[in-house]
Amino acid sequence: MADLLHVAARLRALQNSEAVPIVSQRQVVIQSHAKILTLLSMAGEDTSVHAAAFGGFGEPAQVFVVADPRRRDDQNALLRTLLPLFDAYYAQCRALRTFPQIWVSSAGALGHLDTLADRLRFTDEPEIRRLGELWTYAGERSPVAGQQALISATGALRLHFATGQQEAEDEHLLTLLTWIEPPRGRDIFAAVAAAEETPMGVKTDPGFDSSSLQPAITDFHNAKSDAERAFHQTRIQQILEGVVRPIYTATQRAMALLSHPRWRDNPSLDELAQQESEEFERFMQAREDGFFLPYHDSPKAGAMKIAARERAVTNVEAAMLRHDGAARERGVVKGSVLRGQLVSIHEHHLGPRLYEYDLVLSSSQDSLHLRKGDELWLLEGAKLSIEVTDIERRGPFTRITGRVGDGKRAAKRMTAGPALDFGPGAPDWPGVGRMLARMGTRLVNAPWTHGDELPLATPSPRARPANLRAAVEDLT
Amino acid sequence: MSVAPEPEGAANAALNAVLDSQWQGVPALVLRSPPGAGKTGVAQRVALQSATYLQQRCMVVTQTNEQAYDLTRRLVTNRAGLPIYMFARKGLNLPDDLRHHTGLRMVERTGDLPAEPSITIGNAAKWSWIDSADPMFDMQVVDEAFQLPDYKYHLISNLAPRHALIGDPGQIDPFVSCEIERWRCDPSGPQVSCPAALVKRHPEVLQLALPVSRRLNEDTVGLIQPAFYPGMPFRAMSRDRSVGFQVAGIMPFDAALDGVAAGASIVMVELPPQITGEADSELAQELVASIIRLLRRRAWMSDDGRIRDVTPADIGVVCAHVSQVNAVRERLGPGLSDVFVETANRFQGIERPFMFVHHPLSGRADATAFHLDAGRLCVMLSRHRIGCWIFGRQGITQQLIRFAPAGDRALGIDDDPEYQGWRAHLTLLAALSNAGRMFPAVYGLAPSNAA
Repeated sequence: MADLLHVAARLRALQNSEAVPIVSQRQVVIQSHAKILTLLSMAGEDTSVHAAAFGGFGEPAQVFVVADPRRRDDQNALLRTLLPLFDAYYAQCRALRTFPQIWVSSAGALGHLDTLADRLRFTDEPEIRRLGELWTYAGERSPVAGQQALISATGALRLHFATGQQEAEDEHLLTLLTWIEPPRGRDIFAAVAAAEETPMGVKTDPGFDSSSLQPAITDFHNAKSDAERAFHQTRIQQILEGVVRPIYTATQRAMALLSHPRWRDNPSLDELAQQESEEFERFMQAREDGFFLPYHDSPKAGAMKIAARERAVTNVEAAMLRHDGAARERGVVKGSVLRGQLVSIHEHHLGPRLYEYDLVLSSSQDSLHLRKGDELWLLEGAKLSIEVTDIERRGPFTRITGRVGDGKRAAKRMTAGPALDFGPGAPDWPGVGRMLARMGTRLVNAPWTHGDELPLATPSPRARPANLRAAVEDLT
Repeated sequence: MSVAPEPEGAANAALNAVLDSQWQGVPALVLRSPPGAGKTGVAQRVALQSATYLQQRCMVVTQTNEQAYDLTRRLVTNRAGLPIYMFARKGLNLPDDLRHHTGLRMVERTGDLPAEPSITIGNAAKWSWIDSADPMFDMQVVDEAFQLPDYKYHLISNLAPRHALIGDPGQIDPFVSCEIERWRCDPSGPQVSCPAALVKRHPEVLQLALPVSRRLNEDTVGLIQPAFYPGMPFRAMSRDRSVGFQVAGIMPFDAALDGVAAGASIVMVELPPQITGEADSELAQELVASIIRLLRRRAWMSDDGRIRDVTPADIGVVCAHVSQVNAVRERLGPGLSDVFVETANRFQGIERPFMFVHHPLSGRADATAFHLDAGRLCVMLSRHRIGCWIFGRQGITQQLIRFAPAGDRALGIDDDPEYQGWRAHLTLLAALSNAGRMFPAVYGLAPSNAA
């Protein structure tokens, strides 16, 4: 119910048998040097990598396959092959003072990469550990609002399009692409059903496993000679390439669709890109300084991370409401943005060269999230804030009065008539760093409440009143 | 055979135990309180004892400025003549009654905090901005502690070596806006309420509970305690709460009014089923018309022996969403401006003799964790001293059955708040239906059978 616009768009997509765009501006940063990583794990081995496809945007994939990821040496060899690719990419990004961006096919693939990163960080092999640390940057950033380091193709497409299928079904990249680019002259549901036959996640199809993959792996293990083993290794490589390449290609297609010039620039993304670059530099510097990446956060690390995430949510929302037309309209519908016609401006002369200004707005919104005392900022034009002093219903309209805080000069020049949008203040990304620095100072000494030892009780040596409760009640 | 003490005696014994714990010098006390048990009064007494008899510097932490004002009002009139300090940002717009109070001293800078035995009140956010890693107080009292997430408590906990965390565990969990999957399996994670996290880290800390609600009457306790506090028994202090009308009822809503007058402290008023979304203008209009009807029938109330006419200031309206609050406020008009309308989050710690509740699931097509939240419903149904009318669209029971929780559990976490809320909603609706407490808002509408 919170996003009726999205419900309406999905209904329209169903009616048209084709996905409909829900925004006009791009919602994600697309790095020209972004890398696509497609991993396949083995059934029953969630943290394995059976096959990997890697490449840049617009480039063919390099595909790496092991015959059986349960053979640790083979698995580690594959991971060691991937390490220099990521090491070089991260180094290149650092030199360019930008950030690396990894695209995966879906939320499931994103979760797989995150889990793998956590696991690889704690292996005995330095090279594997290093790969885990590099992937951890992407994994740790992925839940943070506005992050641009690890992108799932389905997630990015869903920010731009609404389809006529259920949201969970949108997580299959090929069906999502089918809704966006439906084949001409073919029933959309038949086309989607056909698309669903192609695996797009991190696992192969169970039927394929039993009919093709498992026999090939068994043959590999039963091979009597190196030549026979090499033959079966090649066979496994070929059958898994047939699975991993379509996923890689679909991810490329998603990036191509989102890179199309039809999507207008979104200035809020510049701030997010800048923020991501700074986060990346901090992460890499911390690795160089030898800081350990724990599996579980200490109370201090947890406090700092959750506080930073909360500030990121606020900042991203503020940025989007300012620069993104669709986000602004959603805000108007939800009531987090006040859209009202400026009815009048009242000037109050309080003393020599001392003036206050009240803006009176009339809004037809019926779901406003406003309270007296709220501070709102003009979302476009002059830097102007108001503190809401009165809200009153007049027939179908709500009349809002606000005392001008910042921007009195601009208020003085205003005239009645225009429709104005008010919302939260501008994002303050440097404020996140300031807040974390302050938290670092506050938490330099761990309090016992968040440590391991409970202090002993220390009874008071003072004389205690005979009737304690009565004595305290006498004070109230 | 032991005899359970009278409510007054049980409440006094609990307060004795709380005050005594401070003389024992326990490092921390977690005090659980049911709705309306007087926890802010306990915080007041713990702070006064700390600054006077124990000669300590006591800091009091509130969650909002409004809570800080409320506690300050109670403390500035102390008979010891102790000045009360408020630690707040420069330019804070104090309420008129506090602005000129001679017993209140404002502190804006850390360097100006008192060094002698004293009480200083501030909200958690303000305390967290102190640039010091060392204790600056002897005692820290956290009011409404179950609303404070552990990571915010962490930021202020080293300001004093000893702590008293006082709050209601049945109310709304701390609000965290960001993604918390990383800590979901951690029962003492940064998103958890600070008393729960502290007890998880240090199970040996002293834990006490207040056994008596001074606000809720027996009938309400009979509905609220089993549904929302199954592990925390409590009783009602008062047996003398009632409402009556000087004008007989003839309108559809009058039956619901008369139901409360007959002793049913919580009843439900049903509107015809309709998917309306968050804002339901018809329900808001009906709710306001019902408030007007209550006043037009010249209601009088008896509250612990005090009998008087009901005024708009005796009435509160609680909703789940700000947009619903606005929809009601906009329709109240100037004559009813004293009716207090707020969301459940902001109604925590506030009471009124009569409450009108916009049911959180009314008019919705789904049932999300937010709307199922047992804490939210508990707050909504525990703000009244005498009577509570719940307004909602018919079909909520069917809606609950359609949207049974998926059972998405986190490893290592025993609680399942979504299921608990779902269960509490069904239990409450069944109890109201069984007791014949469902009233139609319009003629010809048959009451729901949620039993």
